[in-house]
Amino acid sequence: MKFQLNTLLAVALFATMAFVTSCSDDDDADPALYDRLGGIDAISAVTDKFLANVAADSRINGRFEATVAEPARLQLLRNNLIDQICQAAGGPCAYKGKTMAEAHAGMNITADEFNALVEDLVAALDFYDVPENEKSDLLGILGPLQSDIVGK
Amino acid sequence: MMFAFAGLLTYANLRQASPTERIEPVQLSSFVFDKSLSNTERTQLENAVMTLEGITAFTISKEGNSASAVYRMSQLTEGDLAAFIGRTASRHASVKDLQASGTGCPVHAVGAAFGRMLTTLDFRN
Repeated sequence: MKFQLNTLLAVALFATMAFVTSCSDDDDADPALYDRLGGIDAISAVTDKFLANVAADSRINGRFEATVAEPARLQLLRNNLIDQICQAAGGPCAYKGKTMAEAHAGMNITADEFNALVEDLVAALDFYDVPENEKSDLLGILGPLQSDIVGK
Repeated sequence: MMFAFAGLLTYANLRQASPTERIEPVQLSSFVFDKSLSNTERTQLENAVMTLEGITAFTISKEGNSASAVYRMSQLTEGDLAAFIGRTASRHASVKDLQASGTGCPVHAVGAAFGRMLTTLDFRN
């Protein structure tokens, strides 16, 4: 009886140590960019600010006027943008829109227009004081899309 | 017809829905001022508008002669927003009539309407 109790205590102690150790390992792991950005609410806020920036930007707002003028199309654009950022940042979203190449085929977007869009996105990130690391990580993920968008 | 609807209903409730579908929809309106704002006036107006219940984003153009707002339609109307902006900025702020047709960002109306229908049929929302 005493032997069984000692064995049980030893197993419980070992299990506790293993649990604590594994939990410590989890704490050391880098959280996903999605969590570091602040989750879906933060991404949604940045996206809305980005849309307002674009709509107020005379360099490119003409490209988006027809879309933002209709509520259903605006919602889809907004949701697609949030999904795209959320998914790229490792979040629980699934982007279901067209690929960037398909979506921009035939539009002949110029490098200046693309740069203006990126400026508006950076301004939105700065408005919410997104830290430099997270900003760089996000722009690093979205930047390569330029080749699918410009001059197509 | 009923089978088609039943199929659509099943798909709407079994597909992988995105968390974004649960976010409250917003509206975007643009306003034009009869006179450009100074830098001080811009800051004052931006700060004031962002205190409104329902506003999610507000940006004044670099030229200071127009602004765009994103807001929840359940809490704010375009008319109320225009009136508030005009009063606060001491300017006449008219709603910019956005053209719903034309070339540009290819979010198509049919796709948008279908997506909205799926969200409505999804009982998980």
